Amino acid sequence: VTTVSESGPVDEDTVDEDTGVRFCAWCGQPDRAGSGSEPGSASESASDGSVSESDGSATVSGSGAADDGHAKCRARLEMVDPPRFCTRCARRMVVQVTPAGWQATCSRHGQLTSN
Amino acid sequence: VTAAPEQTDERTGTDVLAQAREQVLEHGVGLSEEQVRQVLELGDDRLPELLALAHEVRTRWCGPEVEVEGIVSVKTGGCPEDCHFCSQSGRFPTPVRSAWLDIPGLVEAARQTAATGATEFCIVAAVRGPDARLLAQVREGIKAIREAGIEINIAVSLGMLTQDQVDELVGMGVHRYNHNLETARSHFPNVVTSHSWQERWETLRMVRDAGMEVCCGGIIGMGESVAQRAEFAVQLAELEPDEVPMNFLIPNPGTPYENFPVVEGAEALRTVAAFRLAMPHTILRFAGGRELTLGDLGAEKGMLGGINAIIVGNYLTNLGRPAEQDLVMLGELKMPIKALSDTL
Repeated sequence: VTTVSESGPVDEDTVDEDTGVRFCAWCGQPDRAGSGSEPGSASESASDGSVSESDGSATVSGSGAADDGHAKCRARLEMVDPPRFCTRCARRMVVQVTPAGWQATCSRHGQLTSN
Repeated sequence: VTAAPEQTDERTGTDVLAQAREQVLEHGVGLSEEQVRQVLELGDDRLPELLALAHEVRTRWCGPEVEVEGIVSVKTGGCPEDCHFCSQSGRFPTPVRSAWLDIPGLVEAARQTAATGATEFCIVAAVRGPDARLLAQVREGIKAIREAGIEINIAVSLGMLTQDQVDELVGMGVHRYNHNLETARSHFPNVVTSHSWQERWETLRMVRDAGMEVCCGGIIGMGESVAQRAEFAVQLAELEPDEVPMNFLIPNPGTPYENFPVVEGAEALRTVAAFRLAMPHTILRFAGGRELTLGDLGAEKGMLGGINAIIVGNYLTNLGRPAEQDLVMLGELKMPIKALSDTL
């Protein structure tokens, strides 16, 4: 499981101070559940069956924007995608993937790195 | 589990796997397009037999070693081409933003790759073809990697090349050039409209003629038919590439293929084995998408079903399994990693 460390001008609290809204790091939509469709968060089984894992195989496809719980987003972040959107402001981040990690930079909220 | 009728040759009445055992395993001659199609149409009940044969072919003609490679994107996003699968195309509303990897970052990526025991490090750019700035960055990057004492073969993937650019890459000491044909020639216009399959083929021809190793593969799961998969396998075989990377579509958001289904595991394994039977001598590499399509157990089955090379760690814009996980897998399968000295 990838863990995320933050550097630069980012507070430990990832909820935007002004609005309290958090955004999904994969699809950039508001994450109303607030359970954190953040990079490295544990994936959950989707109640609608849109994400399934069994026998070591997994099925994930399509956009997760319409998925209430962002289960698909979390699964993608868990398996194949780095964060693409800042969870505080939903800006698209500049992401550099390297063989052993990634860096994601929000122009306003700073840089996230895997470690 | 689905069962399909045994695929038999109408002329000889022999089963296609029996033919493959004689033709491919014993004589090292790849299957024809029609034979590959028959293999791709075998039922799930025959998959274990197919994988076992593909593994026998691989060990017989390629040996037990596995070639390990790492890759990195030196120039991400903003590509002018319209490859429908690609999140780096500037023509689609994907979340991928442009990024440029500096020289220290490139050296560190090479160091990370070499630390896994990999013999290949591929520097990739999302471009139609390289401009002077990109070539200068690659030249400086290779120089810096060498000066840092990192011992690894360097491959590059910079799109379509001119003859002068091919010669320049040879002069930089580039070991292998990657340029994927992506899919069957008959399906290519459905996948890319901004350039042609033939243009890609021309670059590959120049690369081969200049003495660089040719790395050319594609992506399974882009709406191609089974017949087109067979067509693609045979077209790759005609190219006689040193390496064929096999990717499985990752439906990336914002691309025209974002809602395409992920290739089903058994189908992916059947395709791997069929490609091995079409190309018994080539380096057949697991590349992007295997995590979604096959998961952990499926990856092991692929390694025992014709694959003899893997990309470890992350890909260009997507994440892979940690390299350590794949190295443990290879250890458990008792598959030795190819040494750098064996590649020279």
